[in-house]
Amino acid sequence: MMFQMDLDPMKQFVVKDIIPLEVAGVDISFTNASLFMLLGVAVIFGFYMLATSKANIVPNRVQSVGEVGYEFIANMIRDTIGEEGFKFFPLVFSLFMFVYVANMLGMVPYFFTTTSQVIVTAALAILVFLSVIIFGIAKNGLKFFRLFAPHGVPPVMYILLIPLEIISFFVRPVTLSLRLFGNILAGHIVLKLFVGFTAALLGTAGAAAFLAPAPLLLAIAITALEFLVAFLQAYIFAILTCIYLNDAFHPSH
Amino acid sequence: MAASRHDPDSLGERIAAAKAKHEEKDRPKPRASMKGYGTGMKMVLDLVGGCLVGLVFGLAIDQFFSTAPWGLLIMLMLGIASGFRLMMRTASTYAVSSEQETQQPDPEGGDGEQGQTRP
Repeated sequence: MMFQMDLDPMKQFVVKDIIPLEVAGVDISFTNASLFMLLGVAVIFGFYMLATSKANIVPNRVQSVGEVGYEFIANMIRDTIGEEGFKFFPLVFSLFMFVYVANMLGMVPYFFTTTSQVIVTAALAILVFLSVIIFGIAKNGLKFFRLFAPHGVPPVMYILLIPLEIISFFVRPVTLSLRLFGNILAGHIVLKLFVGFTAALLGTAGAAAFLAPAPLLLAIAITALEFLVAFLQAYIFAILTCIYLNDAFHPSH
Repeated sequence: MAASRHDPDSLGERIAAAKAKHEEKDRPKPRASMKGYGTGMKMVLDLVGGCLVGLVFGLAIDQFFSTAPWGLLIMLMLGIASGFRLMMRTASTYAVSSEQETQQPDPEGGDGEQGQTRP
């Protein structure tokens, strides 16, 4: 073999301990996932420090990029919830930036993709889910549960429909987390497979090596697609968060 | 011919025509396919999510109230039913929004759950 390369597409998702730690029997080791989450937060923090450090009325370049991010989420909240939804601006903005930066960091070769771990996306989705429930009950009291009673159906049907609506409500965090996780995981596997295939073809060093550019070209195309997916999934995550939060503001549909 | 080309009076018209041509070229296709992808993804997830939630709830109920296998059976049925219901709802909103799209060329995105298709 010419190329002794590791072609296992799943190996990139292995969580490794960097600093093993254990407190009261619970493993809280600092892993590569923790490292890249912290790195993502540091990137966002650094970027917005830079963007707001010399804030002017006429923004400079970095500041205007920062403002684009702000406007983007502000408009999203205005469109889906309305002005009252700005209470949740910090939550939606943090979620969007975190997911987006985590996805983008994942596109850097040799970097770990934190959003490809279902536990990370599930934690984010549960955060959204609990905020909706807690805020919904705090704001509307018991009227919040009107969410589960669909409109325009005879009350007899409630016996069947209310359990279905409750289950549908619990499906939300599941789909929210699985969508992000699935898209990022699948994209990275496909990318690795195509690149690995190129390497394997080259490794034969025979006639098959001439076919190597074909999967390489596909890999390049998929890389471009993955950048789009990185943004799109962060956007979907943010807008679905807004839609679910909207239920907490207006539970009677 | 040359006169109409450089006629300042028709400038507005020509700009509008050129703009229309560009917009027609720019708008379209990728957005439509991305939309189909998004909707398909959502429908799959609805179905799988419904089943998963039914399964987990059923197992949890059986665990806590030791009612095996009834909790699992009933909750799984309800989960699958609500998964199908969510999927049908997605399908019907998709059908409505794509119908509108064929009638009027530029609808603003559809409703919330379809919002993911906006770039």
